[in-house]
Amino acid sequence: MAALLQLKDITRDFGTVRALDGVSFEAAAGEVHALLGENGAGKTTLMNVAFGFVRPDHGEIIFDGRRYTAMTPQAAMAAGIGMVHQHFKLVEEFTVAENVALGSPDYGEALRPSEHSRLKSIIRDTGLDVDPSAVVEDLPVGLRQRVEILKALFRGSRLLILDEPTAVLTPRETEDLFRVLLRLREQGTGIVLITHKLDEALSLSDRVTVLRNGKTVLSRPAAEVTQAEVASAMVGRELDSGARDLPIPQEDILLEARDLSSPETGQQPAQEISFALRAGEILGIAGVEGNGQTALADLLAGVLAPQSGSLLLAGRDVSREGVDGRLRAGLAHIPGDRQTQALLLEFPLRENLLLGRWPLGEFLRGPFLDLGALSLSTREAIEAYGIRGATVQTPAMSLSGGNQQRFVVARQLGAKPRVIVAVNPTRGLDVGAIEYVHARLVEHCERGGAVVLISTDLDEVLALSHRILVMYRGRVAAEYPRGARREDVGLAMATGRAA
Amino acid sequence: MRERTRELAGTLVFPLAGLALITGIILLGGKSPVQGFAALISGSLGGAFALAETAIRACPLLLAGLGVTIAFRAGAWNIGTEGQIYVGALAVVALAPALGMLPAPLAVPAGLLVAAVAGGVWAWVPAFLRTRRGVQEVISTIMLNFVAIQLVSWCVHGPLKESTGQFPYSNEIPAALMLPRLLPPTRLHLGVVFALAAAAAVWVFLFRTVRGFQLRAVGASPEAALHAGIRTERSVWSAMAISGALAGIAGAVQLMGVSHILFEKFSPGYGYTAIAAALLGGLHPVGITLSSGLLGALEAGASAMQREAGVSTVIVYLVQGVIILSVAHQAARRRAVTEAIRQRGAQEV
Repeated sequence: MAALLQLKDITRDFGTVRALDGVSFEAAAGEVHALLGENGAGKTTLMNVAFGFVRPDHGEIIFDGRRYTAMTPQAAMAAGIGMVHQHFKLVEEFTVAENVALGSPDYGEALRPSEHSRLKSIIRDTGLDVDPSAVVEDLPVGLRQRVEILKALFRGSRLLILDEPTAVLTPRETEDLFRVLLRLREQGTGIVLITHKLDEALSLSDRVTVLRNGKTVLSRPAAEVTQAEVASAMVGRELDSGARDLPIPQEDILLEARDLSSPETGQQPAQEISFALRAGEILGIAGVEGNGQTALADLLAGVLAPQSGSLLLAGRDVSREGVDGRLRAGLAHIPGDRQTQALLLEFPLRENLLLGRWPLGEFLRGPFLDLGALSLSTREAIEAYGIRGATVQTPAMSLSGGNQQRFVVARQLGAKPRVIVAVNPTRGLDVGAIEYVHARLVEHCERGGAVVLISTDLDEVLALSHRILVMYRGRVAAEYPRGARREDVGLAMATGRAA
Repeated sequence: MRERTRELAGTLVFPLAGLALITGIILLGGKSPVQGFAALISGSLGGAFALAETAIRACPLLLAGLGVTIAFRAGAWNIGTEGQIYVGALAVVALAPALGMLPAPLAVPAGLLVAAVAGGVWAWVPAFLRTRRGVQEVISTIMLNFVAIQLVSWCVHGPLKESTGQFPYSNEIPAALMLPRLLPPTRLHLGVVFALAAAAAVWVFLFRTVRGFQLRAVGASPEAALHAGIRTERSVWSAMAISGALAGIAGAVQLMGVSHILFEKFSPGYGYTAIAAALLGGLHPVGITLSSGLLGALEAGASAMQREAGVSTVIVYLVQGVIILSVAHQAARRRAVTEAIRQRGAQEV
């Protein structure tokens, strides 16, 4: 098949880090090409080069026979490259049609409501079912993604780059997305799929390319490779696969929620949540994003005070304690967004350690900070968690996403809590880092601790939990024991009813 | 190597262009730039008198600049230092008869405390309005500047008018409230020592205490601070109150050390220059000590320049402008680099 996009010998440095090292990549019309790699492997950077967000230091870009030494997003869009980012770039107050019109050369056409308009026919041809007059803020995540894809197609994109498109979708929505992508492929659109989910990559793609440390380590037709091969290519070693053995929970209850409800804060509140968590137990909270998990996490962590109900930590009522009081009582939390909620990006690691641990008062000498003790603890965390190349003075932002998360996990576990509330603890991480974070959480349980795992990644919840609660519109809609079928849980997530 | 050269050129381009511009303007005015600059330097650095003048002019800038720093570090944009300076001085003058009855070693600290409370309350109001009512403190602090300035103006025309009732300024403060001179016959007063001590205290507070860390965390990321159990509202309140207190003290020190009376236009924009000093000093106590010294030297040298070379003092504001632009330019360059690194971090998510 004819190559639509060719990236030749692309090299790009960020400071002293070589993000891309002579990478070549091809995407053909009518083909799905999966681009895999760990965090920091360079996959998003490579696609940002293609789309013109990042200028390569060396190498050339050929799209549709035209040669570019550097792309700009404007040129890329005009030439027919569309990119759907992980975080959608939509105006929430606008309708679908208005979002499509925004920035498009023929915006008038996009706004025309007639059945024969180009927007309507694209929707019909691709199966991207969404009402053009719907306001984006009323749409669930899966439909917003469709709007992003529509935007790209309406501008005449012949190559569609999707960055981790399934990270926010339910299993059902993922299936729908794949159906659309296959249809687009039939119609001759080239598709580049950046993902870390191996089974998806292999089931959907014609070709698989794996990057590691800015270099191509594998690029072959999908039919010729196995999951294990791709996984070990990504991390550079063999991985132990399959579900983990979990310790057997003990009798005593560490954390008990009694009819916890959150106040109105503008997001989906959590309502009348009750559960009891035993020592040595991992309780998984599954659900599609936006079904009250954030409110529940905030209630458990102490970010939000409950509207009603109570929370007991080892028998003691901690409902009125804040994050600091709960940490002192033995409850630590790993927030869902490490960059905005768990770290001060410009601050050195030493002060980021202090951020999570100050309530314990362990780094004080009299009224002043004991920088020696703080540095020592930070260095220990860096070494124990294998955060390569970091010192106590390294600003958090110069760590890769995986290392940032390792640091946050190290910091919170270092507080020696009895209960951990972990929110999407492995979101956006690569295989190696996921394995690592999971192992630490299981270890915590083996030592008699307990974990509440709130995650939108169903596979993670299934692999790691003793019990699973499914949240739907703010309430617990169903409960499943370990070993429940993925389909059943997925259905409960989508419909709010136990199968 | 080429990179290095470019970097250096980038650093120097603004100061050099600025110097050329100023030289040109002095020449246009038919005066000698060499003589002008010589007077500027000798008037600010040449000898004990000049140095003392530099120090006492730097003093309110340093104190208020430290206040600006604490607020800005906590993400609270206190543009109201000018008003807080006025309010601090006004409070001391209003209570001067009572304070003057105290013995001198008590009167001075009591005066500073009164000014700190007044400035602190004046700054806390916008903080409260921001956290509880969503009022932008940038706007409310500026508006309170006008209120404070008009309030002082009304007071010196009314209730605080000097005893003969002829002139629009206050009575001289009692001797017990006057800051002792350190090196007579120069005007160098004890307030300079207070200002340097305040710089040290602010440094310790910001970088060696949990409270100071909390303020900086709230400024860097309110969301992360919230998830770490830091009371963000309380942090903003205390940052603004401390900020206003330092500005209030700046007003009191100016009153008790230099002017001894309160009048309209008591502060020739110290509060605004202090913001420049704070930014110029990189919001760091050591940097602000240096930057307020530099700005103080320019002000001290300006009068010498006018006296000896006939070059208008306005030129000095031009120099200040050039310095501030070049620092802003540097900061923008640094930010561009930081942003590039952050972008990379974001991509890796």
